[in-house]
Amino acid sequence: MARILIAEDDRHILRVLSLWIGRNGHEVLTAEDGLEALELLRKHRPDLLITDVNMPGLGGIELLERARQESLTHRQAIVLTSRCDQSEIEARAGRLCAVVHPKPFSPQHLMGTIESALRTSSGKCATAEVPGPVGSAVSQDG
Amino acid sequence: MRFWQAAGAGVSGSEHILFVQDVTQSKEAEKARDQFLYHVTHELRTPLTNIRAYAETLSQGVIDDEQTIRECYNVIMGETRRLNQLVEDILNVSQMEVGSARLDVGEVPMDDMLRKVVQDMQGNADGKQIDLVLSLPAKLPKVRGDRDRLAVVLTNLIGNAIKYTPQAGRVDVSCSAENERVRITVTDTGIGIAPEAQEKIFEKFYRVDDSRVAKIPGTGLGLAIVRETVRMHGGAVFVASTPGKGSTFTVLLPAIGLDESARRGAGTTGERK
Repeated sequence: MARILIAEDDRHILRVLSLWIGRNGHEVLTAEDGLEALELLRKHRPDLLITDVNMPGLGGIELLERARQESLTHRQAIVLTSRCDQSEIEARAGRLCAVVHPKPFSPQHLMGTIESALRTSSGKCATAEVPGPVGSAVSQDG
Repeated sequence: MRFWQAAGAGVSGSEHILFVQDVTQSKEAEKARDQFLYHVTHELRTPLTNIRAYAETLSQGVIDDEQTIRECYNVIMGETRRLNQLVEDILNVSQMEVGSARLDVGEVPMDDMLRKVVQDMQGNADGKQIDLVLSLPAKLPKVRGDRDRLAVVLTNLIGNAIKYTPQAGRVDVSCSAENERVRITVTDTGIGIAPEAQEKIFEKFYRVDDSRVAKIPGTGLGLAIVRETVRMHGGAVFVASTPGKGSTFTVLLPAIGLDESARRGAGTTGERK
């Protein structure tokens, strides 16, 4: 059993992901914005982070940057996005050792990615680009 | 900032012609189109994600208790309505912006319309134990306008007031006649709007960067529709707000057949629906 943190500001998506992940026997932590997710990362050190890109307070990519800077997560992360600039998101996520699942996604397919990431050695993400000094929180719309 | 496009052509020997064209307008149109696409994509994909995920949850037999199964169906229904509303709103606002929207003009008694809209919104207010109070003068002039579109304006404003007001708050709706105009105000005890956001909230897809706002479903088009509709009627809409205390939205519409007694604002009755 793994501990998985989902950061997502849409409560329906949060709920359905919790159902699927919980059914697979994992412990689920949820956060409805990036800052809450950062606190949960610091406090609970989950095995895996799944994050939406557009969230109030702190966006998903910025959350991942902070998580890598503070070594809060070492495994591959999963980034969900409904944005149309997907290639840019993929490039940024790739540098942070994360895979992108565009919305709308299949929960079954996502579960495959989750299980695969959990099987992957945490050392695999040692080459993730850790950004420079922590700046102020970047806000994103919607 | 202005954008210029330059192109050169050789005429003969050492002579060249340089064409310089101001392309600011087309660049701005391009930027607006990109932003529109960006927002529409995001807003469409969110309900689509939920519809797909909950449908797959049901079809794969992930859950077996009746209550959660019912919850899944409700989410699918709700997100389908949200998607439909979004498409309607996009069409509405796009038609208004390009000037292809037409008003079906008639004489609209605003007092009757306000009673109807407030009655329709009463269930939403009750769900949050919000006092929804309508105050109307004894006499009110009619407005020349499109009944259906003006109803959308009032529904959006009162609906927003209820949405952004915490439990057990209050929403006051009032109407009065002044200087050949009808003034409608919707005041709430909601979360309020920061000064820097007060102008932007009327822009398409703008949503205040606040976790409390993000949790409340909305297309980000409601107030853009309000502004465009009011503008088409020759009126104006503006907001006054204090963060943490509440907001007042005011709509001014040209009145017709203004009765002198109403113009003086004689007699106001309070109605609690």
